[in-house]
Amino acid sequence: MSELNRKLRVLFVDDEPAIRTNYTLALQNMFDTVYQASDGEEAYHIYEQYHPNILIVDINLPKLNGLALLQKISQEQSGCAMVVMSAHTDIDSRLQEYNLEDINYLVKPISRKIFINTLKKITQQYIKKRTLLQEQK
Amino acid sequence: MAITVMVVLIVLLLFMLLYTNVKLRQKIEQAHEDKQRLLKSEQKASWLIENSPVLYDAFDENGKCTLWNKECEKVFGWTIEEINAHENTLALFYPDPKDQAAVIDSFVNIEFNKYREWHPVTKDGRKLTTLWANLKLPSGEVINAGLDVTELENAKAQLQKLNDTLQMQVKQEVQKNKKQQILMMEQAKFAQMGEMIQNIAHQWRQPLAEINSVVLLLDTLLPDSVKKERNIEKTLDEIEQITQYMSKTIDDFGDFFSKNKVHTCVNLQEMIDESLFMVKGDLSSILTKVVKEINPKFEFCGYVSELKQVIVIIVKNANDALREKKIENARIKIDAYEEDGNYTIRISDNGGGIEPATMTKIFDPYFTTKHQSKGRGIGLYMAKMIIEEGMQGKLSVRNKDDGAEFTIVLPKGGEVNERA
Repeated sequence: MSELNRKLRVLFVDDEPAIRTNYTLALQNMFDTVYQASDGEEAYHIYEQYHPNILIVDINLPKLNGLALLQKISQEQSGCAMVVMSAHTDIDSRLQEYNLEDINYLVKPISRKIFINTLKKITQQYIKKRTLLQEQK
Repeated sequence: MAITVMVVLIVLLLFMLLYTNVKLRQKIEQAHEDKQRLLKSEQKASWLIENSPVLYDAFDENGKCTLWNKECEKVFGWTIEEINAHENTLALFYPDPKDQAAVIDSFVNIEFNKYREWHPVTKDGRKLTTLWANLKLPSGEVINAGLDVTELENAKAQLQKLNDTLQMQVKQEVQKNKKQQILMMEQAKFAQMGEMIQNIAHQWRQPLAEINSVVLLLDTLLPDSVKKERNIEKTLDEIEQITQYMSKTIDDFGDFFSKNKVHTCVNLQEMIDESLFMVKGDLSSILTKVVKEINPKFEFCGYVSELKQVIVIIVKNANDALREKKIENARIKIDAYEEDGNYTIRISDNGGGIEPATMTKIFDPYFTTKHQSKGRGIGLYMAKMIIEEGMQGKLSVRNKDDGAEFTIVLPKGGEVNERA
């Protein structure tokens, strides 16, 4: 399973308009449904309303920062896949702070191959997790 | 009548006798008193001479000592008898014939009541510093009065010495302090630079992330057939390599200032190729030819990204010079050789060399010959800092043949040598 599943819904969160627009457009080529948000609160509202399967979130966001947002969502155990993006190389300590050590993270600038590979990887993880959750139910 | 006269005369005579007797007695008493007083005065004078804490002596024309007070005995250790037992009494105090002659001369051309410095020796051979004055007594007799100032002189000399040492110490301390201050200022500057670079790094990566987002978009939007036909995939890779390098560059600078540097081992030739890759665009734009002569077996261990930075700085500088001087057949040559556990990397150009006035300031911060818009004068300063402060190497420059030659001497490495 190394291909992306077009059916998965993706939420992309970044406060930089150019980055947000470009990634959203690129993601729309890979997935049928792509949501976008420019701050943490907006992102959370979208999450609550549409329950996207994949979250791609920048670490520095207005209102609610990316890590706090992901912490909040991960506590709900919805099983959605998450990636955090950062312009800082030393984010390990910050991930620990939010109990997000196991999360996938990408350091900006992100090369397209790494971006797509990470997407594939978390898609796999998501599918595995979902199967597991369904079995539990 | 006659009897009366006789009686009167006798009485008168008796009186006269009595009077004379009384007068004489008075005179004798007076004389006795005078003698007593004189005796007392003489006693006083001789006691003073004998017991004063002042040196008193006198010698007759034959060199025999005629006066030698207690102070003399105390200071010189000789008694008058011991002195006079010698043939040449002067030699006891002045073993050097030259000094003896000077003493004799001072008695011939005598100068009274004026202290003069002499350096006689004592019985136990110590050399003293004394002041002597000749005194002429009312009788015409000449005696000498002296003071032993040896200890005073010694103390003075010691004080002088102490003073000198103190001055030297103060000077040294001040210099040390100054160096310490410069060091502290440098360190503070370093820390500030580190903070600043950390701040810049974030702002810097944002546009780089934007570029990469465009690359991703292009890649997803362009049909595969077009990408293949135009070799676009490769161009996009190149753009990403450059943004990656730019991001890494700022990291490297940040790392340099943050003191946490990465120590790795690489092939020297490959490392230089990677450095040249970064200035590829610059070099091709004016067709500068780069000649490399590097043993492919050379392996360098150390702060690789820092060394790359330095090579980039030097090559870019050389290239700028070639461009500005519009040199035909512009050439940059890079070679390396190994010697005594060091690598020497030489980067030379054919740009006609560096002006002597520029040469002395070339590594100074904020010194640049370029137009304000093109240079801040930080590159070569940083390069020198990186090589010499961060890597315990040496970076120098000289003019050679038809251009400038930068020489980097670095320990080959192998051991991790962290900067404190």
